[in-house]
Amino acid sequence: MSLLQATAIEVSYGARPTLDGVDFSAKAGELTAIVGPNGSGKTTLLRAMTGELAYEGRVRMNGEDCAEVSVQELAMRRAVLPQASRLAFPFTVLEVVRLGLTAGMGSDRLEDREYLPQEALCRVGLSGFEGRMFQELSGGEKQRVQLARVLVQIWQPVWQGEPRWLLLDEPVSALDIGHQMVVMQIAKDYAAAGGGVVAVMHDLNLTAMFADSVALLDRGRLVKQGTPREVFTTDILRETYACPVQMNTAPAGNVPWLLPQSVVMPEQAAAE
Amino acid sequence: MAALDKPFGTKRSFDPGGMRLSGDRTHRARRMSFVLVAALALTFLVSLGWGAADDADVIRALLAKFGWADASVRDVVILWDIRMPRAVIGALVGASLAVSGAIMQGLFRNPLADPGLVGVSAGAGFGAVAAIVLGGLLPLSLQSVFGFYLVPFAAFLGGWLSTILLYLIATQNGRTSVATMLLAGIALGALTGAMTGLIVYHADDDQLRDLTFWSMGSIAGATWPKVWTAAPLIGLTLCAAPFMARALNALALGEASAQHLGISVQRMKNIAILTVAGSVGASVAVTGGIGFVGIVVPHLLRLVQGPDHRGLLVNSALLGAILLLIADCVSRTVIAPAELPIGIITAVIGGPFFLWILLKNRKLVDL
Repeated sequence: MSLLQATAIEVSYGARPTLDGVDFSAKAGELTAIVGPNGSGKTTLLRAMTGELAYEGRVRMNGEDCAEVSVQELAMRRAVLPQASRLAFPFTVLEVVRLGLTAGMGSDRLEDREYLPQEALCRVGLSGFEGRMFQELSGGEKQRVQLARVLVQIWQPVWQGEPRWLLLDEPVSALDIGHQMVVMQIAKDYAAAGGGVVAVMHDLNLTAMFADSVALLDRGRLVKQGTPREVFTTDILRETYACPVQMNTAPAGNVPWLLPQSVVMPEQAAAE
Repeated sequence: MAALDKPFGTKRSFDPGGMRLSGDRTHRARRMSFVLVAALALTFLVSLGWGAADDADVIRALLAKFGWADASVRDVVILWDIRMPRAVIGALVGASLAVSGAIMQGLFRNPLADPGLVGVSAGAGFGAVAAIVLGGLLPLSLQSVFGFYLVPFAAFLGGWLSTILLYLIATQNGRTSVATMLLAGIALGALTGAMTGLIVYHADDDQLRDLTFWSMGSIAGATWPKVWTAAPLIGLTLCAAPFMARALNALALGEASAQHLGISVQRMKNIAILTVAGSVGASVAVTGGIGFVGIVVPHLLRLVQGPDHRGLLVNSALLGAILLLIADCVSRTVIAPAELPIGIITAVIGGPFFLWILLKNRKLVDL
C-alpha cells in the first residue's frame, strides 16, 4: 500500500494534549498539505510521523509500522526537512548538501553521487553557491540548501518499487514569492514522479495552488481532510482561524483563492 | 526554470566540467594528512635524540636493538627503556587528548567543548589526590599490590566512575541529553573540586608537592608498563574514531536531522562518551593534567581543512601527537638539566595561541 498513514495519534506535552486522536493519510503521487492555525499541532503531527516525538497510535509507511523499521532503513525511504536550520560548524554549502548522502542511498548508481549535490543545488536555484559558507547565507538560502540536502538523500522518488517520502516542515516560510513557487513546484514534481510529499504549510493560497489533499487541524484535532476545494470553505475557515474570509477563484487555474475580509481582534473573539 | 522540467533521475542539467568543485575541501584534509604523518615521524625521531650528545649514537642505539648496528649497552638502555617509552607515551597521550577533544566537540556541537566535559578530568583529579594523600592508609598488602600504579589506577577509576555517573544522570528513557550532561558536569565538577580541596587541606607538605606536580602533568616517568596500560584504551578510541566521523558530521545538523539521515544517535553517544572517557582517563592517569591539546588542535585543523570529521579526527590525532612531543622537548630544555612539567608548556603555548585564534576569527566563532 503506497500510503503514509497515521492512526489515532496522541501526543501530549505534560498534561495538555497537543494532538488528540488524529487520523491522517497521504497517498504517494500526491502532495498532501497539513494546515491549521498557530498551535493547532501541525508540526507536532509531522514530528510524530518522523519519530522525533513520542506518540500513542500508529504510523505506517507503505504498509509498514515505522516504529519497527530501523533508523537506517527509514533514512533510505524518507527524508525530513526541518523547520529551522542550524549548523554547529562552518561547513560549506556543498559539504552540507553532501550530508544527504550519509544514508548512502541518494541514487542507485555510484557515479551519480559525485554530481547529485550539484544537481540538487541547481534545482533549488543555488548553482555557484557550492563554496559559500552555510552560516553566512540568508535564511531563505539556508532553507533551500537544506532542501537540496534532503532531495539528495532520496533522489529517486520510487525505489525498489516503492515510493519514497519527502516530509517538509514549513518549506517556504522564509522564502520570497519567486522561490516559494520554485520550492512548491519541486515538491509537486517529486509527487508527480511517483514519490509521496507531506508538507506543513502556513500559506493557504499556496496550499490551494499546489496541494492535492489538505488536512486541516485545529486545537489538536483533525477538522477535515480532502481536496483544497472541499476543505477551504468560508464556513470552515472562519470557524478554524477566527477570521472571516472571502472566497474567490484564482485567475490561473481552477483553485480557491482566499482573502481575509475583516479583523477580529483576540479580545473581541473572547467577548463573543 | 529549465531544470524544473527535468525528472528526478540521472539526467544532468549542468556541465560538471573537469575542475575541482569549490566548496570541496577533502583534498586539503588529505594533503594535511601526508604532511602530518611525515612531521610526526620526524618529531618522534627528534624527540628520541633530544639532548643526546651525538645524533649518530641515537641512530646506532636504535638499530642495535635489532642487531643491525653496534652501540654501547648504556646507549641502548637509555634509548629503549627511557626515551622510547617517553616518546611513545607522549605521542599516544597527545593523539588521545586531541582526538577526544574533536569527538566531544562534534558530539556537543560546540567548538569549545573539551574532553573534560564528560567529567573525566575532575573525577581523575579526585582519584589521584585521594590516592596520593589517603593511599598510605590502605592496608600494606594492597599498597604492595598496586605499588607505583596506585595513583594512575585511582585516577583512571575516578575519571571513569564520574563519567558513568554523569551519563546516568543525563540519560532518561534511553535518551542522553547532551545539555543536561553539560550542566550536570559543571555541578559534579564543583562537587569533586570541593572534595578534592577537602583532602588537599589535610595533606602534608610532601603530599602537597606530589599533588602539585601531578596536576601540572608530566610524561617524565614513562615506562613500558605504563605504555602497555594506557595503549589499549587509547588505541581503542583511535581505532573507533574514523567510524564516528560520518555520524559526527550529520550531528552538526542537530540530533533529529542526524537521525533522519540514518544515524543511530543514541548508539553514537554511547560509543563516543565511553571511548573518550576510557582514553582520556588512561591519558590523565599516566601523565596527570595536560590541558589545551584537546581544544587547540581540532580548532586549528578546522581553520585549515574545514570541519569535516572524516579528515579532522585522523589529523587531530597526528597533530596532537606532534604537539605533545614538541612540548616535551621544550620542557626538557627550558631549565635543563631539570625539567618543567609538560602541562605548563602546553598551557603556556596553548593559552595565548587559542586567544590569538579567537581574536583573529572573532566573526567566525559562532556558538
